[in-house]
Amino acid sequence: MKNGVKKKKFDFRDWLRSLCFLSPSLLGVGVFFILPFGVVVYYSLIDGVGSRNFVFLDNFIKLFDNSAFLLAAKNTLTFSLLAVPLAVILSMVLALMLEARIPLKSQFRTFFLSPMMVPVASVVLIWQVLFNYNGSINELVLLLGGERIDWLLSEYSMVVVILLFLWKNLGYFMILFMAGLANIPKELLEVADVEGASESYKFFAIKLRYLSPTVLFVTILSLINSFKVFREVYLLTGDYPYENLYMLQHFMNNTFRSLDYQKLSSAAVVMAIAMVVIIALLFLAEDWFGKDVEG
Amino acid sequence: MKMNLKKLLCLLMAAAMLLSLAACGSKGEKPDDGSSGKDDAQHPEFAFVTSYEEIYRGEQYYYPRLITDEGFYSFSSEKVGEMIPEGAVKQYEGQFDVYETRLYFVDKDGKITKLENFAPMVQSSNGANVDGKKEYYAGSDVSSLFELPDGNLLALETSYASWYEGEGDPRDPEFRDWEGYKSENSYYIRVLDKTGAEVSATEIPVNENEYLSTYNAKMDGEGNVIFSSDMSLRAYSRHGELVCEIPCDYYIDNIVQLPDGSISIMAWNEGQEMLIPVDISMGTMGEAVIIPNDAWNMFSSGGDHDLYYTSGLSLYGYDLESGEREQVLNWINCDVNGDNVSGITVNEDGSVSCYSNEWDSKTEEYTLTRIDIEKVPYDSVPHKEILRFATLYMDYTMRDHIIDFNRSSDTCRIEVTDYSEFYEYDENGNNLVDGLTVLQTEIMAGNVPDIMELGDLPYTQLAAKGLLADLYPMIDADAEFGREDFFSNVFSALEVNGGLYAACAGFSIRSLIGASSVVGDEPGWTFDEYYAALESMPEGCEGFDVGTTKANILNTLLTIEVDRFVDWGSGQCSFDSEEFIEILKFTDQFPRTFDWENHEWTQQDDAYYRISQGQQMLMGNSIYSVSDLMYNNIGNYFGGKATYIGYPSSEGTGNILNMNNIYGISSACQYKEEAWQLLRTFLTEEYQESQWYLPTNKNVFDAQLEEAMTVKYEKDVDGNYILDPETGEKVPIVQGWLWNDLTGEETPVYALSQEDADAIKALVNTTTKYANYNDSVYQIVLEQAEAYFAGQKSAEEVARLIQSKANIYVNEQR
Repeated sequence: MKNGVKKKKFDFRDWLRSLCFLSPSLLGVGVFFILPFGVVVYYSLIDGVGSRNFVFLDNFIKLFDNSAFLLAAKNTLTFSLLAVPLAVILSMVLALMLEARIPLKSQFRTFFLSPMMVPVASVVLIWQVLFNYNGSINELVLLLGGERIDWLLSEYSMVVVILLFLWKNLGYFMILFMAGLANIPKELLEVADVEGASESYKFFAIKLRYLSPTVLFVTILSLINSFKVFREVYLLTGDYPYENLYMLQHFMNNTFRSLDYQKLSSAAVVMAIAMVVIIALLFLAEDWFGKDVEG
Repeated sequence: MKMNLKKLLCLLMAAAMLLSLAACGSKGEKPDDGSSGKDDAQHPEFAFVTSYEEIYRGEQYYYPRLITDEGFYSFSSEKVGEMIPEGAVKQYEGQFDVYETRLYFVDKDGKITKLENFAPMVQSSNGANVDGKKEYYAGSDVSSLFELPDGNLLALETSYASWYEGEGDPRDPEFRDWEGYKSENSYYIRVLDKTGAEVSATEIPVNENEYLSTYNAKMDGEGNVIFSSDMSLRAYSRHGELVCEIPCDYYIDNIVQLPDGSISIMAWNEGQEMLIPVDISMGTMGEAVIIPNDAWNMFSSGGDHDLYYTSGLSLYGYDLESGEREQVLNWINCDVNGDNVSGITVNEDGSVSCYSNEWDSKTEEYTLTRIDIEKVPYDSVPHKEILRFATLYMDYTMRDHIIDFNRSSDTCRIEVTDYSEFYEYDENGNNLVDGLTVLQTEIMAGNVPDIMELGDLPYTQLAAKGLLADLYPMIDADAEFGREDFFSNVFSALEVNGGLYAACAGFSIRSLIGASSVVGDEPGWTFDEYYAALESMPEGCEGFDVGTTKANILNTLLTIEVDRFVDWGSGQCSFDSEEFIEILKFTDQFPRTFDWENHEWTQQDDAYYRISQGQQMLMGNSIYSVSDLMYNNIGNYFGGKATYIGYPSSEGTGNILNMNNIYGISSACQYKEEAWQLLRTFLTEEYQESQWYLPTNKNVFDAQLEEAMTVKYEKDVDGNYILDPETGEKVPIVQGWLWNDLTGEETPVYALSQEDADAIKALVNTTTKYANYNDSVYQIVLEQAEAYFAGQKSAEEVARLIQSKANIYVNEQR
């Protein structure tokens, strides 16, 4: 009764009713995500699916002693560190540009979204035509007097895949930012205009703060997509790509094919822990950055 | 900072969703087959108890041709005399022996009764001049027997005759008139009484040069005899009248009488075995049903299934309605060698009766055993500890040893899973399930068999991962032999990190032969030595056979050298080394492709011809036994002495050891001592003396070499040496004939020469590389090397790329 707030009494029937509505989702998540996660953790702590002796951290120690895993982890981290910020910044820039009064706004929006409609196999085919040793880009390089570059089997391969990643994802992220920008209260921007605030001040003090949940969401989505870039890399270069394109997914896929479940599970657990830490840090950043923004 | 529950849940969900990205794709799943991979706790419902009764031991081979309730009828050839053609000189014992078919009845107790009144349709002749026909060979064989309702027997007999009708003299060394030979076959349906006396005989009319397959003939419920001929099926009454002839577009493998008395054929078409019902009265064939490819020998019997067949590994039952097969039993797990089994009968109670015929090469005798396999509840029999034995190829001798082991061991029993039975194909012949993948899946999943046949498995990787037990301590502790009794270079080739993880009884050596005058006298050479030798040959001379491509050579060289460039233990690769670049450059001199389909082969493409003409420097060859050099005749083609020089390599050791059936014990095996008792058999002198490969045991090798070098002489029946009437000297026994492809000359061989013995000794002692093929490494190398072969990249660039990719692959495997 304090402060006039009436504490609601726990209603068991109401709780049960809610549980009934939630149970299909809970069941799905439990069976398809939580349970497999538990099995993977269990596999990472035993010496073999057949013998099932508990070996505690032995599989993890072996994993961190495996240079293929370390290479894959390094490449995945490098790719994410390069591709995720680029995807977030560029998509935000595009959204801001399209928010401005420019001609052919709708056409630009469609243009940036079009890669989402193209099947992965076609995307890969286009990229192969472009970046093959005898591909179009190299023909252009030759025309300009340069020498052929083996784009997918050299240090440039990471650049090619980052380009592919950006081309494929920028449109969708841009739409998310445009939605975020549309949600910024117009009154605030009008007041800032009246107060004579500069564009940069408006961007950093108002827009970016209101966009912080979108930034977080796009970053997480981008991070997850950066792990999924394996699909394109695999189709472009196969099981064993050039060493700087060898991702954690390659490691996991290849170890799965050779049925080394212990190595695979340990790698998956390490990757999950790393992702939890990264996402937790992002939540902390979002909490700090958008703390005085409503919603 | 306070983290609320929602955010924590989000984190957990994100983590779980990420794990769903962990892997994709699958490779080979284990089929639902109860015959393998049984867990101790999940025992089957039934067990099989096998009883044996030896009913005959001797020189005669009695194969059950017609099974009756009392025993079986058999026919075999019996020596009836000797016929030396006029003017011919007998060169060895048995050269002009004459054999004729005889019929026997073998009852269940082994009492053998000869059907005394049986006489073959045609008297045998063995190359004599008969009735003006020169070189007259003739005889007749019974090929099928059936029991008639009146108790008589119906026999199908084929007679054959060939003779020379031309004007030439077939004994003249210059004789070439092969066209002058004539031949004829006749087919008979004979009715015999129980003593073998002929009741009636009818010749089956056939077209000229038509062949009737009488061995797979069957009799239907109406008493018609059904044969297959060239692309047709024929039914005759027992009186020889043609009942019907049904054209067939397929190759007929066998004919089976179904339980209802009707007939079906098993035919092969476009890579598939089919079962096709036949209506003899209408003269038509029904709709074909696809059956397993190894089910070409189906027969009907009692039990729960319509038809049965044996794959040699297992006995299967087949149901016509469902088109499904079911494993009735696994022969070896019933302590029976499926290769020796015949006369199989499945009884109504599910028990199986059969006969086993075994040949003992030492005593030169057959042993005929009657076998009864009874199906009993699993819990009603005592069970021993199980040692799981996994193989993809069950060697005939290994089966015998496992059976002997199981019969003699009181504590352990070896249960065999032959993973070749897991191979499955779709209707287009595509491989659906791969037995090797199934086995690898089980190993990697921790379900490691106790004993493994390692021929198809990645032996080095398994050993490096610690999945195999080191056999050196077991060899050292063995009372009968020690390491020093074996070729150290052969064992060293199999060593991984100083341990020996595979027992190997025999090996062969893959090599290249070259003229000693060109390649030198000692085995092994470097690339530079190869180039220098080729330089010394006439202009345009090539190193290898026609059709050798870059991929062939790269594959072979990698097979030899892969362990040189990969350290499976540490995960270090050295494909960017000068040695590997040298291999790439060597490979580049060969053509990229060869059009096998459209190439018109002539004698000029033959290796012997090319070598004799100085157009080719080397010839591939494999040595399987010490006596192989006796028959190679290679010196003739190289114009003098030849050397087993091998493939060029940076180390100069290019001959390759191919191990025959290598076996290992799992490091997790709980009964290593028992497992070793089986494996050690292959290292014993007794076993190695009987195998066809070069023995790993030095004592056996030396004995075999001495035996091969000893000239043997003809003896008469009393054991006295036969002397040549002209020279008065002992007559040496010809061990074989050397045939010269170019001149057609034949030269008798009496023994291995000292020169050849020295050559094989040198070859065996200097070969140190084990053929350790790894397809993944090869594919990585070949894929990248293509850019070098296409001239797009330098060998050094390609080597760096290979190094990068191979390094990742090798480290993944650690």
